[in-house]
Amino acid sequence: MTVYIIRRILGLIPVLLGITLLVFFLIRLIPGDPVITMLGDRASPQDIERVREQLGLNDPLHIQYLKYMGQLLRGNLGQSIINRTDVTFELAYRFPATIEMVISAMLIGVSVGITVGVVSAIRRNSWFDVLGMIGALLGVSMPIFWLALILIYALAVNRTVLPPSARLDVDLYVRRVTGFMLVDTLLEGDVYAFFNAIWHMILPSLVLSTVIMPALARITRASMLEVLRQDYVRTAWAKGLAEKVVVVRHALKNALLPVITVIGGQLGGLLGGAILTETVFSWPGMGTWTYRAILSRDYPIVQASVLVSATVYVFINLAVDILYAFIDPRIRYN
Amino acid sequence: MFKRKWFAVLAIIVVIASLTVTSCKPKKSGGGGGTLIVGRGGDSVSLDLATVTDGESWRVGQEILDTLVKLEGTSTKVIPWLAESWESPDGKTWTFKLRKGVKFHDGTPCNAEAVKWNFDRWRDENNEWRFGRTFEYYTHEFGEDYAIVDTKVVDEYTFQFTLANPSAVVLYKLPLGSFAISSPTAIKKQGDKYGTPAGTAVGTGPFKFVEWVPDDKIVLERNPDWWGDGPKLDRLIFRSIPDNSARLAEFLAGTIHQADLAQTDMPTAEADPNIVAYTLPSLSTGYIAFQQCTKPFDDVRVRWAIAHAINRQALIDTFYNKQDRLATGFQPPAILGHNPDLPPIEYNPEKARQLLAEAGYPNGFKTEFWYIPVIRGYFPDSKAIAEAIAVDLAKVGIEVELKTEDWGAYLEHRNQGKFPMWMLGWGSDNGDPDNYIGWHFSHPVGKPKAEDCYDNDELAQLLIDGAREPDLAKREAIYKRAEQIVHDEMPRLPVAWPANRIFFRKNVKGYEPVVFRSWYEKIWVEESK
Repeated sequence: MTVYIIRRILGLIPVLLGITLLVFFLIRLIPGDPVITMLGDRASPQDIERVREQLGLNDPLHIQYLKYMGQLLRGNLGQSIINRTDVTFELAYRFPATIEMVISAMLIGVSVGITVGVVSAIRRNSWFDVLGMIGALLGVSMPIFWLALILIYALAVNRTVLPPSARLDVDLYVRRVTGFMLVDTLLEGDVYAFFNAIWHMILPSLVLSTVIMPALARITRASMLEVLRQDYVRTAWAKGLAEKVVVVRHALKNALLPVITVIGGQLGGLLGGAILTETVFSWPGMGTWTYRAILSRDYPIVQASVLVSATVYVFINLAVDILYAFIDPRIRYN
Repeated sequence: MFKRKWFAVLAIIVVIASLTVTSCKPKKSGGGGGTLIVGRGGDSVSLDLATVTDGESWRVGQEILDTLVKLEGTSTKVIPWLAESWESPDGKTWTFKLRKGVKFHDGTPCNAEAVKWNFDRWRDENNEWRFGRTFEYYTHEFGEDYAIVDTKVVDEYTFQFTLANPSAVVLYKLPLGSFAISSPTAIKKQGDKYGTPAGTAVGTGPFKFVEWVPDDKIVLERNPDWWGDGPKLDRLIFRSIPDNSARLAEFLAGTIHQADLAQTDMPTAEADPNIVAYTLPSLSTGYIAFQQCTKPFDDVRVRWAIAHAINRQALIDTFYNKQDRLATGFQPPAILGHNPDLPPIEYNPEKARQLLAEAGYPNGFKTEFWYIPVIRGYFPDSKAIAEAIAVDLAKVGIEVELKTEDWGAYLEHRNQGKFPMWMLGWGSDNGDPDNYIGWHFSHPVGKPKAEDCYDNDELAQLLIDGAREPDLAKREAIYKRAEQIVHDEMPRLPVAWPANRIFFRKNVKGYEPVVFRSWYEKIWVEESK
């Protein structure tokens, strides 16, 4: 297993190399000059040319790529073309913000989705099953930005139950250490701010969990139905085992393999940034950062964001594969 | 079972605690002015104002940094700010007497040395404190013709600079945010982090920088030692809320006190009894432009035919707010040199057809019409407006193919002169005609710009003279004549003068409608929500 893990991690290197090549050249294929976006519609052609020269954008593409790789190997993700901030500095703000929202959404989505799927399967065709699957269909059909705005109006505008946006109340100050608000508030010893951060996370996490919940509910249900038909489950029933033991220890464990695959895929995708949710809730995460960078052709940010997303995906895939081996002892990597 | 019960209990405690604790918010004591929270659509780019061109950076930075002079606000009259007085016998050498005893937020003195340091940083491309950044506004506003060729410390509080050529407009450039004075000590100490979220901005302004969370908020606090009258607010917070609907929701909920609203959201805000809307005079123009190196737009009759063919009043009535006006000339009334005597550009499809026939296009022609891909006050719904224009033009035989592209590409291709006909707009930076009609039509005599190939030697010379003429009445006459030429030759068909609207919650007090400056130092909030 250790060798397998090391091999998979080493396999990351050619993957990332390929991704740097792909994203470097692909984004430069999109028409539009980042310098014009940076300088605005008042820039003269001479100004634009001068800045392009300064930023090295007039160098041949392969030279630009080699310079970029040289920086990357020294751990430097470059500077934003538009506002000249260090990409690493901004990433250290954005990525933890996305991680916090996604993890809390996943916790809600996974726990509710799997529970609904399991109960729907064991109570097949019951009212719970019907309602659960209708709910899943609704969850998949509802546009997330619409749901977000409805909840904001219902819970934050018409009634101030929850805050409409941001990670913390605007007048609270928490020193950034890790970038994770829940951790930083505790490090600061600010209990009020800790609970305030949780309060702010509720609405965006709930909304984002509706992306995960329906898919998980449906796949869990389908997978459980498949497993519940197996002989060993029938044998477990026949032996007189309690329903909980049969469902959890025998059926669910075997039904989880496809569910974990879906969770892994969802997690990887969301950690790249949930643009719509972040935009509506003014959550300063990876999604909006990357989206704006693409629009303004801020190459260093797009490159860094894609690299981070790719790395996260590879590690999540690895984690999923390792989890398979724990759940199903028959799976071994030699 | 024991573990599960405890887990459930813990989860319930966490939820109740967070709801309870957050409703018992500790009250902060303050100076009485409260906290004003501004909701805007995007974040600032940098608070090193000399290096930026975006309004969101200026908006925040100008509360931290002061300029030598300022525009009065209800007019474009220049008033003393960091400089108490100034003189220039020849328009080339300008001497400023600075306020005595003013300190930067870091305690260092704001004197002639500090001001000279800033000016040298802007004008010298080899200055070691530029960190590879660009200083576009200095390059554009001073450029080669009016470059600052020398700076001097006359005495501790007297600063002097000399231009390459005399200029009457330099006083209108200095209030721009890009010419605000930063602390040299802070820039040297922070290096290339200055003005970024990793650093701070340090000036002499009414508010001090506290923190910048990228894409979230910039927090400023009251400078109790500010040399001016105020500020009353304890804190001024600029929040980034990119989604228009979310920003409106927060404004209606009262979690922000001032909001930049989309045109479509303005009626909803106006209907709310807790919101006050202020209307400011228009300082921008939406227009249609023509590439005169491309036939048939080289013919003034064709350009006038298009002007007569489009029902611009119908566009204003349909797509704009009731405060927005039909443009009767290039410059709106608030700009010096606005010419109220220009003959109206009437909607007359018959006349349009007649002009086209005279120009040799009795059956019309085909062309491309490029519309902007972004929302702007001067074209709030560019696609729909472009479609309406296309319908009008089709009635006189002009068949337009509507096109657009990504904003960056749009500007690039416009600069390169690739569009035969396109829409765009302009917003004034400082109320001066040199920044308005001058910006658009100034070029070296005989060398037109690539974007439109428009070449009129008389106009080019008028705009050079206007920038140098110190007498206000003569300047006005020069620019009125310039407006007349632009009207007669129609290189741009003006469409709209959109009004500026500012929205505040009712509990924000002390605001007076002003242009080219904020009023935050005089505002206070009666309660924080």
